[in-house]
This record gives sequence, C-alpha cells and structure tokens, in this order.
Amino acid sequence: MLALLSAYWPMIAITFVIGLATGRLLFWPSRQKGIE
Amino acid sequence: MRPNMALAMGLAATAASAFLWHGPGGAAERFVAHSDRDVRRMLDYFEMQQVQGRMQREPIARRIIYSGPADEFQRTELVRYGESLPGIGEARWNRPRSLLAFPLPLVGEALAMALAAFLAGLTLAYGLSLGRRGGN
Repeated sequence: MLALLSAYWPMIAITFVIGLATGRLLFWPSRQKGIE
Repeated sequence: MRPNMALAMGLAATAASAFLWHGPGGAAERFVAHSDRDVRRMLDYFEMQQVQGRMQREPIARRIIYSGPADEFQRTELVRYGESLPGIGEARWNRPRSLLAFPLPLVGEALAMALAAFLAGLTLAYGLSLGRRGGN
C-alpha cells in the first residue's frame, strides 16, 4: 500500500486541499455575518 | 455561493484531479512499470527466466499475471512471493473473469484515495470552523 501512496501522494495532497477549501466555503461563518 | 454548488464543485475538482493524475499525469504507468521491474527481478532471483510476470493492463490493476512453464509447487510459491511485493494486491496465472474482483482497477482505487483525502480536508475544515465559532 505504501508503494501506491508514494505514487499518488501529490494527488492526495491536492484533493485534501480541495476538501479544505470546500469545507471553508460550507462551514465557516462569513465575514458579513461576523460584522452583523 | 450555495452549499450544494460548493460541494458539487469540490467533488468535481476531486474526481478531475484523480483522473488527471492517474492518466495524463502518468502515475499509473509509473507504478506498473516499477512493479514490472520488481516482478522481473524476483523471477530472475529464482532463476525462472522462462516464466513471464506482467502487471495487468487494460484496465491497469495491482495484479500480476504469470505465464510460462512451471510445476504446481512453483506456481503456488510464485503467487505467494508475488503478493508479498510492495503495492501488489494479487498474483495469479490467468486473468480474472470479473472487473470487480479485488484489487479493483487502479483508476477506481485512485478515485477512492482522492475522495478519502477530500473528506479528510472537509472534516478538518469543519473542526476548524467549530473552533472559530467557539472562540467568538
């Protein structure tokens, strides 16, 4: 499994960041709401 | 942006990353080429030059397919040794009939890894958002 992960780790890193960015859009309170 | 739209865009970007890295990025081809060399080295070590061991292609999977002359003992042991090589899911002497046999085609495994990483990022973002709300 380690051999597979070593071939695919850049893809895993990219999709992790995509997940993080999507989560930021979905879950983080917007600045507008914070001001209100 | 609407939540459903953000989620759909995230999932689409994840699937696109998996397919691009797997195919045009050359990850699958590099992986099977490396594994082919490992198998050839193992067969040479056991002085079985007449036996061929190739990684499955069309579709690419983490499966060695052997061919060539070998007795029952050699066939069993080559399967055992082949499956102990790094990254190999299965070794056998004939192609499986079904595509859904373990290990799945590598593109499916790549997509599963990408989705798992996407969900891990999503979960971390959720955890961080709870921390921010708690802090405010």
